Amino acid sequence: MANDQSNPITQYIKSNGYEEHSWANEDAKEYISTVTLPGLAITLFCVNTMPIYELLSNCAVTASLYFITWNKAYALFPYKIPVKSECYLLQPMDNPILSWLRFFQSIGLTINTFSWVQHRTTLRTEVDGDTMELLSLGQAEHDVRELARYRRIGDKHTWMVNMDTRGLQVPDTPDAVLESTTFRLVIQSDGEEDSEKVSRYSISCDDSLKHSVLKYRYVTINDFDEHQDRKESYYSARLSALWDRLNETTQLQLSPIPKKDRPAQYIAVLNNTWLASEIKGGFELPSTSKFYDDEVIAFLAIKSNRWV
Amino acid sequence: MVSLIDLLSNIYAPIQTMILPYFSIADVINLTLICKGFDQLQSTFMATVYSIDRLLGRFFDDPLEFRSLQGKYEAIVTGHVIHG
Repeated sequence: MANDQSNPITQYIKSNGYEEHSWANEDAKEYISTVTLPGLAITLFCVNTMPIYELLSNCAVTASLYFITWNKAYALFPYKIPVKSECYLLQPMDNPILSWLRFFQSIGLTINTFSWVQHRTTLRTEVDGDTMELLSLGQAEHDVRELARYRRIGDKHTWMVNMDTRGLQVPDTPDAVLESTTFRLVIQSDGEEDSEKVSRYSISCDDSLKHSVLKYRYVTINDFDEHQDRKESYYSARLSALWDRLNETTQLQLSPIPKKDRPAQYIAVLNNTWLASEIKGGFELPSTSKFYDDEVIAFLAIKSNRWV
Repeated sequence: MVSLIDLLSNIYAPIQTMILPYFSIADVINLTLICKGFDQLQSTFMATVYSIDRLLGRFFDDPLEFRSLQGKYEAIVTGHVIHG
């Protein structure tokens, strides 16, 4: 959605007495209330991907992973943050992040770099050639498990609260699309830049599951590169297979389209299946097209303890 | 004897109304973790003290209209307001 005057949410904000204040960056605008409560501010980020991908990719600390959709409230780390009052750094410590760190400290949260136990612990072991999850973790390692495990927004570890929806228009996109989002915290070791001198977690996720055979776009753990130096995880093997199926079905979907109506990348897609996720919207789908969202949602709903 | 579970239930609604605003989300989670008797506390808390319409009502005249737009454009709300 474009961040301009034609944007319906922008129009709604302005109709409530807010005035545009300044540019935070190209995609973010700040609106200050002049009526309801002078000084009250709303920052609107408009993105060309799923908003949850932007939040996961750019949030300052794990405490930022609270959000509200039209019908539900989500807390992705509900035990660590409100109960233990601690959270973990997710970005380099440069200026925009420092204000968030000050805010979270002001509400009583302790900010950590990453779990000290995780630095010397692995959640995997080799048993008869298979990668297995360690089962006998001590109490301290429970923290590691909570932070490092493969997660899905709709899993049992998320605190999810249904809100009253009486009087609301029900949108077309089902909750399952957002709740199928998978992510994982991985340790980001210190780098060259000053702001990168502090090790921290970062969130591994990717928003490229957007084939034309899907009605919706999905965010999944980006697990491919991470496992190049070791045995492929169950999750990445399954995700790779899912990509293969979607690439094939996209090719199949394109084949019956008359030559003049095919996307310009048709030949390239046949030769390089990774392009199959990049052509959505670039051509008119046949009326008989089948969508495979149910299959993707079912795949991503696999219990995360089977993903290691 | 009247217990905390009773005082936070609808049986003693006026007392519940007076006490709940002093609770944080952490308090609610802690209570629901330690006793099944508090199972209803979360929904009561969300419907009253932490009502989303009350929260968004600080920003907009008609929170329902905003939430309908939010659903249509798949927008999410996050930031200071959630923790406040």
